[in-house]
Amino acid sequence: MSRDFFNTLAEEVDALLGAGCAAACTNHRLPQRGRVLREMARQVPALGTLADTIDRVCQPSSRDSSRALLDLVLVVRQTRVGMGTEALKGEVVPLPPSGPWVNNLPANELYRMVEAVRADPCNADLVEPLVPHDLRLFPLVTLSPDQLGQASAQIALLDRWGDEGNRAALRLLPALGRAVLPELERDFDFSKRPGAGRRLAAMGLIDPEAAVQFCSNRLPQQPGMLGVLGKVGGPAVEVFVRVLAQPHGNYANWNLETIAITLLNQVPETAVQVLRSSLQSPDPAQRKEAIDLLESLGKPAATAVPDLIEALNDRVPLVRQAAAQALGQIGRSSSIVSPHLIACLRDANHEVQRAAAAALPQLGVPGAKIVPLLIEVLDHPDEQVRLAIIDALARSAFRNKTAQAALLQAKEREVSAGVRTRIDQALKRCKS
Amino acid sequence: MPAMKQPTTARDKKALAQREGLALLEKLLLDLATTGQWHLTDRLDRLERQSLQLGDSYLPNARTTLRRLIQVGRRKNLGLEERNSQAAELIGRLWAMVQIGGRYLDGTLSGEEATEADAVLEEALGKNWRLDELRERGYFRQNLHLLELAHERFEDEVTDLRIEVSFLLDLAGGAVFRAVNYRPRKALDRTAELPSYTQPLFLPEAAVYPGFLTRRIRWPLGTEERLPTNPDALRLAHSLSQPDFARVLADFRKQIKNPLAPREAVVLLRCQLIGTLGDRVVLVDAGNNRLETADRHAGYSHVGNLRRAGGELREQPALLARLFLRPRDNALVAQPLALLSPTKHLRLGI
Repeated sequence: MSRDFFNTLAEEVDALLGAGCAAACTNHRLPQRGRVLREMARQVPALGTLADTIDRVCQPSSRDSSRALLDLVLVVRQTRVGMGTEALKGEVVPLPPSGPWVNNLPANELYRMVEAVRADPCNADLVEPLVPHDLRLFPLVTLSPDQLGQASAQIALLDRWGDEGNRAALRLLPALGRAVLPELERDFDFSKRPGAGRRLAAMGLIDPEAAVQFCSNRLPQQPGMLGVLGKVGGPAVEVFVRVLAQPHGNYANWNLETIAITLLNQVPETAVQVLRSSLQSPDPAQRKEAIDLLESLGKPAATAVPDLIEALNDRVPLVRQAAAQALGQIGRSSSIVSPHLIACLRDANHEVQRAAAAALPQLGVPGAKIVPLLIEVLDHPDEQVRLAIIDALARSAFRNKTAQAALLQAKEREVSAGVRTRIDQALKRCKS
Repeated sequence: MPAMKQPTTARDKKALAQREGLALLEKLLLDLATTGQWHLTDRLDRLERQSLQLGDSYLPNARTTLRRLIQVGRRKNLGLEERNSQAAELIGRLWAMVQIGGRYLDGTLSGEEATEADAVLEEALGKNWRLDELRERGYFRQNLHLLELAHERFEDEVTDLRIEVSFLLDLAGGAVFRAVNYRPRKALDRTAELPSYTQPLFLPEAAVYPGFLTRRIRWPLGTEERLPTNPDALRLAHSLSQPDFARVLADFRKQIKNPLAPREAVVLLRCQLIGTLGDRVVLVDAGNNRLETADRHAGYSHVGNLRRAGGELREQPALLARLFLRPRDNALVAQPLALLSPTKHLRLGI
């Protein structure tokens, strides 16, 4: 009872100090408190001083009531100190086992690191290796909602700061854990780049499932957000892969090319992996887009050559055509590509034949085993195809007598003036 | 009426300036108590102007406390009760400075006030002790073996200082000392940092300031010697922890009854158990006395660290803790700073 009494009294006196002496003199509760204290002073004489001071404050005629009020502030506080604290009753449960912890780094060194990170969250590299070990960094990085967390969030979510913002998003925001997810999702607008991409990347690191869910729910309204996601690279790839694994009916507008190219720059292996898995998609449009992207990626996509060869047998002509074109770009170093492309020259679809033919010269000088296969198709009914085969053969003709002879024979029987001219040019190059 | 004697020595001139300063402060406080409404903008502006007048009075602490009061008044995010409470604490402190400082200058201190005079002089009159003064007054001690248990720093917006504090345990007597370093924030690059010591420290001599539970320690620059790391030092430190919370808390209550004494003390407590009671982390001693732990400031949780570290050091650990009075419920609580076992030392703060 007495503890509550003194706590209330202290609050009242603090308020009276803010209201001024006149309010204190006319306060009706203060004299009541004085009387209670007078009663209590019978058992605890020391409380008499407090009761006396209250009397001095309450006397309206007193000229020094302001002095008395200041005295009262002091006396109440001193008396309250002796009142004790609330008893902590109940069973105390021992803390669960943990550790082992270390933090034998001198405090000054740690401060310096923390200050460096506070000044610029991009310096998180300094602290990051210590986080799992040093007990003292836990509250700073994982629990503190302000300071480092706020600083990194601000920088990460600003639509500027380039790489620094990305690093803050990818290193520090994830360290803050699930608590920041609502902040990341709030007022999300994919058009605010690159902040939106950073948000998604951080979400993907903190909780990939939640990030995918977030993306999936919003893609119909904001199809461009996957493009934004792709800007972040590395960690976002995981989210991207998961999204790709879902049905894509709603994502017709996504900017797959942007995503893949960006991903490639940062994590080429993962990007190619993503696109290879897209080749298995039931959606032919997506299969074609994936192939186009692999083509645009060029050399780093070489690991996808077997998948592209397989795509030459796709049931959809457009996909087969795209695969043939892509193989021309990325199959240069592979000796197994040419026979498959040559086989495509007999494809039922003219466009596929032409695409395969156009790819052949791009594969470089055909080997000795390939030349006979090319000669076999020199009589192809399509003029465009024949031109491409001639171009391919011409590359080896300067040192391959069989190719030269085949070209001469082809010229004799060729009906098209244009093709004959191309054969002449090729043979001329061989002589020079 | 005889003419007032003009001061001739520097000491007399300073005392006269302090008297005048205290008189000005008293007038200001009486005015503030009479009219109230100290938190209104024009009133705060006036207080700010008046605080400038204290600049030549050799009362730096009074001026700083007044500026803290102005800061409390200007803060927007403070509830009414919280603001009143903080302001009353500061105004009470200023009022105590007027009274005790005045009596000190008049030479009329008596009883406990007189015995604690040196301890509160720094606070009441802004006394800056020089090492030779401390030596003269017998505050020097020889051959001290110390072990740093915690090191912290904070920035004071009002004084524009960075304050670095190292809490050192006296391995002979068990007292906790604090080495303090004040660095102007504008000159951080030109002032030396207070080192943090991971090894035991030997001081041939050091001044232990007059004070209360956690006394300030200072030694002539460069005289300290870092001793090789020794497991015995930690064992000894653990054995020096205070096994009886009740006694420590009684000493602390006595300290804070003096209105000019520091409102906190750092002590090394031997815990029988550290555990949870509902949401609270509680320390329990061998006599089942209990003490709640609490964070002093928002933003960094020492208690959170104690929760983790306490799970590792479970066998009667010693806790270096800062005792303070939580204003909300007037409860004595402890902010954990470091946890010790005879073989391990974990710092809990930064």
